[in-house]
Amino acid sequence: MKIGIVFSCQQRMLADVVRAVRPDAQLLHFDAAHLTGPTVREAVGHALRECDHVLAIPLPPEYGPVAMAALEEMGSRLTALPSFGFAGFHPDTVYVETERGFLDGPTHHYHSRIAIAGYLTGRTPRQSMALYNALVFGRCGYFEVFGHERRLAVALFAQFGMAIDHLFDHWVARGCFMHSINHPVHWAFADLGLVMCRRAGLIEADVTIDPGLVGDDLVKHAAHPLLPPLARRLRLPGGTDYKRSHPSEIHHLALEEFLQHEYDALATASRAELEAVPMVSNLLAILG
Amino acid sequence: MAGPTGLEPGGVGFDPVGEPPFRIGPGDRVAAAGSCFAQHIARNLREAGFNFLQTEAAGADDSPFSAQFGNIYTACQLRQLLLRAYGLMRPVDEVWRLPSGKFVDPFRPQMLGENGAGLDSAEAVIAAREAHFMAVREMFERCTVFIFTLGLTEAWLAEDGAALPVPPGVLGVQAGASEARFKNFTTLEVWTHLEEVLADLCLVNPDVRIILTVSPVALAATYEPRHVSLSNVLSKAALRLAAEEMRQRHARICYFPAYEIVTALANVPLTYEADLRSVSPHGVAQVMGLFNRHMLAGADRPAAVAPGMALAQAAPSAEYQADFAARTRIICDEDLLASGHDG
Repeated sequence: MKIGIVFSCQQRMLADVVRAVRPDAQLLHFDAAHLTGPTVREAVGHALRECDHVLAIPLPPEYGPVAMAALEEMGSRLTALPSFGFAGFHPDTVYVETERGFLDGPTHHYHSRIAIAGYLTGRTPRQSMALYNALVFGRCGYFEVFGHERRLAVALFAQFGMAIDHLFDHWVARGCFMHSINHPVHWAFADLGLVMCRRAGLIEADVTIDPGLVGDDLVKHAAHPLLPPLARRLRLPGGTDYKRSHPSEIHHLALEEFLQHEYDALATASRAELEAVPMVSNLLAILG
Repeated sequence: MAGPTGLEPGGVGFDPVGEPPFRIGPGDRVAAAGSCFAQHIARNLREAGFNFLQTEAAGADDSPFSAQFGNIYTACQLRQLLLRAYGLMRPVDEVWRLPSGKFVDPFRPQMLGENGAGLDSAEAVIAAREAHFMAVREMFERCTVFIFTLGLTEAWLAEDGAALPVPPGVLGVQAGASEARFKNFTTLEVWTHLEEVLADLCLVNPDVRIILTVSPVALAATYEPRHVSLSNVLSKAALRLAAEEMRQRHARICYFPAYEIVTALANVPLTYEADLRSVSPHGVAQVMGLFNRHMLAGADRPAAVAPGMALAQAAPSAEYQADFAARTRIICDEDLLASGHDG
């Protein structure tokens, strides 16, 4: 049996799960972020069509032969799957869209909403440090994000025919299950991967796997910490070290150092672009 | 013999305290702030073997305050202390320089240096403030019961509205002070400040319970153009009404009638010193005796449930849902950095 996967940055973990439950299968797996040119897309699209089953994230029409609209011709051999995102541990993490694409910074495309608001209100990095506190979190609604994200993630997966609500209680009991807003920890993804495999009809309902079989390749990527005000509320360990992407020489930045680099990155965006980041306007109103 | 009010001279048997909405248990962490009379609370709780929360060291003696903020006379001061500690208010008056050449914090001018004389530099005051704010935040977030004694409605405000415990002229401030102006807060303003404190306090400490009292210490002077006795009555009435509004509106708030106990006709003059302004040891003992009888529980209350992991009560807003949907569609390309893939 040949199984094809075209998925988000979580594709390697999904491949590990599929490999664990179907060791007999030949596996092709692709990261959608790498499908950046027509030649690559054509080749991958061709390879996928030769598979007995394809697990695919819905890609928009501009992806041509690997777009969901094109893959749907595979009929029952195709299972559409959503990527897993959950900002409940990192409610301050945002993307900044600029006319040149997503703004890059010390933690790649992740930025801090509080840093943006501190920058826009003329606070120094040191002054902005003082804003990472429970009152600002409370007024921003950060303590409610966990519940919102759970609800929305459950609804999203339900749209794809999968029930994941029960997984949250299990994960929460174990601890923080996300490296960042879109990078789950491997043991949490092991559960998600099984749900996906069941949805695709690759396994029976009672099949389980050792989470250790799933490699945690996303651990090396950029990440924001579970900040102390939220960590205390969730009764989990927290911190203020921001993690750079692994190609850089420095891997961790303390909050003040992160803010200094973050300010440098924010200076390359326009004020309008920063003010357009979701809910930054709320925070600006709070800071006055 | 009891008089027509049912009271006996000297306050014997006088107990106006009703059934409180909650009691303080041995497992509670109690923080206190407010005017002069609040200082008795800390000593009393310690002597009774209860857990008085102190988050900032005060030198050799046990401090009457949970952190080193000094007396907080008005609800506005408390409101602004909270905002300043969380970085949401940055007053114009940063540091005052005294005639002695020492520097003090305008919002606690007698709390720094040896015998409160101040520090040697403005930078030292600012550094001390950062540590102080950390202690204040810890107090607000860790206490399970917060006791606040309302003292005054009359206050001095800096030019940006920052409430000062003492106007700069009283200390002969040489530099760093803006023009101070007199303000007499109305009942509505006091109530609003208390509501704002409660809203923010609940954000940082969802399970906190609050005990409000009104200081029975009478005004020594007034800046209003009238006799101090008139200002005293108006001030205490405004504070009492604001406290009552809070009690009626919020189940987590208890009003403890320290003011009524001391000023009851059956108790005066034993409850006051000869100056008829300061509360006597007898008055303090009477208040604390009733406080202990009614407000302190022998058994621990059940542990509070941490709400953090619970589903949010309100549904996410449309803007939030749109942001979630957009985020989950983003194709993360960080792996390209790792692989050196250039697209």
